[in-house]
Amino acid sequence: MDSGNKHIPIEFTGRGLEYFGIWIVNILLTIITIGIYRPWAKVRTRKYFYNNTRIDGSVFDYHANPVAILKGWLVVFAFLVAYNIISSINPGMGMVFSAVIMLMVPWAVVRSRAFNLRNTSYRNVRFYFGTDTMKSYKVFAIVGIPYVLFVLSSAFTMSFMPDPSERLVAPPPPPHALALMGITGFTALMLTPLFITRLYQFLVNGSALGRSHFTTQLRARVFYKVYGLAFVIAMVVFAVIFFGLKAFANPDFIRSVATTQQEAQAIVLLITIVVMLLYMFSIYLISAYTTVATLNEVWNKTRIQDNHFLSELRVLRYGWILLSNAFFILITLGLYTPWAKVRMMRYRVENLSIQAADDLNNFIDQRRDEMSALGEEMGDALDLEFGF
Amino acid sequence: MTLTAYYYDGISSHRHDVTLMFSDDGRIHLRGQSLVQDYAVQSIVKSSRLGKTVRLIDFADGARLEVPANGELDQFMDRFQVGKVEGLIHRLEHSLKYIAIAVLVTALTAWGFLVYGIPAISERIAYALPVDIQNDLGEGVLEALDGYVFTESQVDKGRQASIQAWFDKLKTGQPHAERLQLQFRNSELMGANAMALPSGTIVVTDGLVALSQNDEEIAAVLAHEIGHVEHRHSLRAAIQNSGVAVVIALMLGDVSSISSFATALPTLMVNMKYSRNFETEADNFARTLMQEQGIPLHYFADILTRLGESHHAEDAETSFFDSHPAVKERILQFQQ
Repeated sequence: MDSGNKHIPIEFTGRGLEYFGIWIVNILLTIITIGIYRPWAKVRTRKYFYNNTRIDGSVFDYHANPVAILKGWLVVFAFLVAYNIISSINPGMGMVFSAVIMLMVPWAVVRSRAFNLRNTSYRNVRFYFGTDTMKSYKVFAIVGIPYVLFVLSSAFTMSFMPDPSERLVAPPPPPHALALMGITGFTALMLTPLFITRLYQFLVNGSALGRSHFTTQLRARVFYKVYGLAFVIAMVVFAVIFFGLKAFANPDFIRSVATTQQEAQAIVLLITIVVMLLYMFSIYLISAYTTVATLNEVWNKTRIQDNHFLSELRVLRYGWILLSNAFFILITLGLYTPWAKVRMMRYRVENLSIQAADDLNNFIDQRRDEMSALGEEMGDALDLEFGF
Repeated sequence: MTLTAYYYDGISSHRHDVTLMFSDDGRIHLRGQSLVQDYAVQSIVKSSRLGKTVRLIDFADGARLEVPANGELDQFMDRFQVGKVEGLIHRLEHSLKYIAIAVLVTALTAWGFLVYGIPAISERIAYALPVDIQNDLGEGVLEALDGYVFTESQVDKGRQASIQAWFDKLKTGQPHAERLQLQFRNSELMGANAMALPSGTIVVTDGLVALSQNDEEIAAVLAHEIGHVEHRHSLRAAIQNSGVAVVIALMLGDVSSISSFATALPTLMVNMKYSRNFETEADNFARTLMQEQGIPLHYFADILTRLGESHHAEDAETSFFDSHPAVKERILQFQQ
């Protein structure tokens, strides 16, 4: 440990009631302007959360120009309309189009992150993200290539399958087609944790505050453990649901237990609710586990200048916040949403802290040109936020 | 009027503690340990007024002030017309009165759109689409039902023929009458029932035939089911349901997947309401068709009553979760 080390907690000063005012006015203005206000609402929301995140007394800020974001959204919207028209006229062309969109993902991730970081500042020094698009493609190729092969082999296998109406009587596809599908699918699955490792490493190492880069050294082993465990648990849950449904949701069982149609309907309803709850709980807990494990691991291995980070998120607490938020949002018909966001943000921010080697006064800004928001909104539309 | 603030020159992250003084000629004076600066209010390129914590002021030379939120600062800004629009929005967000108005307007708009807007739009769309598009919606449903719920009908062929005759009578004159087909099935699970598939096929169960006292009662039910087909209810339901999901998602905006589960309950309630509307529409269609064909309306009321008894429908009032309006209300429309 260096001497002169200061432990600096990160504070979140946002309040649910305060954010509620901003949130509801955002919705109101968005409705009145038929959606045009959305980019302004988004920037305002980000600014509120950033301005209430405080390290050592100074806050963060978000500077994006809503007009630029609006232009980006219009481009994505045009893409979507074009895709819908093309695929309804000619499904083959539609598939080509969507393949092209998928190929743009690594590019969009880079541009989106660059736009967001360059519009974020701390103590009036901007963050940066190096736009090394080639590197992005190399990282995505890890899982991208097996995935593409899997899709191709699936299409190949499907070509042996006859019309839906004859499906029950036709012979199964040849074993070599199925084997190809199996191998490529399995490979894609097995390489996913490696991909995740390299992806976070890429995202962190390319980021900088001013001229100082963030650096991290991540080991794939950790991510294999985390995502492997998550996968196994998910499989167990699905098996339980599948066999449970087979046992209980079939007409024979229901007929043996129910005496009237009312009872039969009630039983079906009960089964549906149980399955939904089980599914929901599992999804939330599994994603809480992967999120917490990933964030902790990445932050704890990240440094900038001589400062380290300490992330102390807990799976059960995080999972509980997710579940209880969902419950309250449900029973308040959505009005609880701002409190839910503030609550989650507070938990995430306040369990992150910095082991600082100095007073954080030594970050020097890099001056670069403004960039367009095109990538940002592609990232937004394709839901590529990594929350990091 | 003095305040303390943080000053950052924008070149490095070095933080200067400064005191601020405002003068009446619209100038801001900064005094720090190693810093003396003067700014005219015109050189403020951006100021933010968001929330209660901090005010951020950006100057033309790239420097920034971070000031704890302060009423006097806000007054100074207002006096010199800085950030007027943002100030207005900020006032909306922090005045309880405007927030209440916003909640009310949003709720009313959402309700209005869900109850009237979406059904109206879906109806337009459904009728504008070619009628055969509905065939895809129900594709395979009858086959699936035949595998799980239906068995071959045990109704005597003579009875089937006479009911078929009524069906053909009701069919004549309907647009796309060739799509309307009648099928008989037996189902212990479904009991006495009839259903209309989007392809135009209408299924009648043995239980319903057994429950009826004459063919006219079945004809009344068939008229109702034909109403579902002619009004394209399955297609409209599909369009409406996706519309509802989109509206609710838009409203809750940029929240994570939390909202996908939270929207389930209101979506369900809305869908049940849409369903009751469809049933009423089908009832109205049946009434008109029966009158045209000279079938006394009370036959529908009779079979409905008996159906209600056989399904133990004890609730007299329609609740939010009923897919059909209460039997009592429906019968009232068919007394003659």
